[in-house]
Amino acid sequence: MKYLIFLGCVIPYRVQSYEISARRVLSELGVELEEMPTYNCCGFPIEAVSYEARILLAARNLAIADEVGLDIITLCPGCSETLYHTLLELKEDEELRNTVNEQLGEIGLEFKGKIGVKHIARVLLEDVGVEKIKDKVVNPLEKVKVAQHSGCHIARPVKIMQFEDPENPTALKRLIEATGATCLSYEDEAQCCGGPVSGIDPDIPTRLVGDKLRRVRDVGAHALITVCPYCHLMYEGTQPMVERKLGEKFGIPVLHYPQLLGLAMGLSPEELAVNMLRVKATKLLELV
Amino acid sequence: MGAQGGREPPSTDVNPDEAGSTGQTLIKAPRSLKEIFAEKDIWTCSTCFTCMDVCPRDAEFTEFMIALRNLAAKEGIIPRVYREQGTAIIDTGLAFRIPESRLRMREKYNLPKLPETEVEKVRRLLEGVGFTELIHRGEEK
Repeated sequence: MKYLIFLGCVIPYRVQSYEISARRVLSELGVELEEMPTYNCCGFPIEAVSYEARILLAARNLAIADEVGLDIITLCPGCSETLYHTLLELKEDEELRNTVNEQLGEIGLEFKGKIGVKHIARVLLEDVGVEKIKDKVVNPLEKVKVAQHSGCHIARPVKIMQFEDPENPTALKRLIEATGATCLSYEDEAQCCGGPVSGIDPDIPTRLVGDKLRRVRDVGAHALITVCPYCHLMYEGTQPMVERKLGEKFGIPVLHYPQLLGLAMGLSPEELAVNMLRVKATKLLELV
Repeated sequence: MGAQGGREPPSTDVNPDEAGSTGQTLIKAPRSLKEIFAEKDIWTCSTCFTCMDVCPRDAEFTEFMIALRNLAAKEGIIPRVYREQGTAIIDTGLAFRIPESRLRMREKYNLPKLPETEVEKVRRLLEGVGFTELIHRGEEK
């Protein structure tokens, strides 16, 4: 099982703990990764300014993957949604495809649409499978209780992503339960982190992050589990600031799913970059 | 609270204060697009796609917000965060400028070297749709 890994921008910029733990866990599961050569931004951040620029940025990445001949795996749901959405648009719209290929032709590339795009959670569920994950669990996390946050773009828009019901998300829950941990339910699990508007009006994500962390704290979770670098930044990176602004203590460690899985596989917290988290997972680690 | 600006919304049966930010944008019609562009509302949609997914009439609401933003950008109205990410893409191919310290960290943690982007090719693609000019449009000199 081999994929072309598309790292995107946010992960190399600030969320290395996700990359370190994901690579480690995928390697244990026999998922081989090849680095995506010369990749650029997926296009998501600037779609707001230019739809055309988003299409071209995504199309260049897709054409590079076509050339290598491997399906893309992303760690970021924003990247997988943008690349996959563009893949469908280019496949279905011949006129758009021809225009884009004319432009790609000038830099020696062609979009063929022969490869697929999947987020890591989807690779783990659909290609690796829960059974194989369970086989690798040598240290079931039976005492650990966590809450899940899948992130919007893993399943939305539904008609594009065709993955799960985002109002009743079960994909990440199944992955969490494969580690032996309990996945607690809480109010409004599907609520957005607000990350994409943090540069416009920081008060909106402050409120949303506070809402989520309060609900997660109140059901007694030892941690919140994410599969999106941006959601992680919002819930983990901004947590101390949100606590100050709201005058309320949360103290909720936020782990990338591969970190949780890695602990259940018997890997050390250091190997999984758990020590890089700002909100220390002391209590959770005691229960591992 | 109304959204931004001191102006009262036009009289309507729907109370815009209860409609939420995105709803307010629409309720404020009929107003010129330029007036709508000048306010923050069209930029505070997080593009979570929830409204689009639950709409019984299949209204592509998120796409509509993105289209409005694209029109605003053509008028030179671009929030700073998008200008920064846009220029980062033009300069480096990525939306964030990866600091040297992060690149050194990759070595420390045995992560593969970050691939070179061939940014001149990215730039050439973006020039083809006038993106470079667009991202600087309306910028204060």
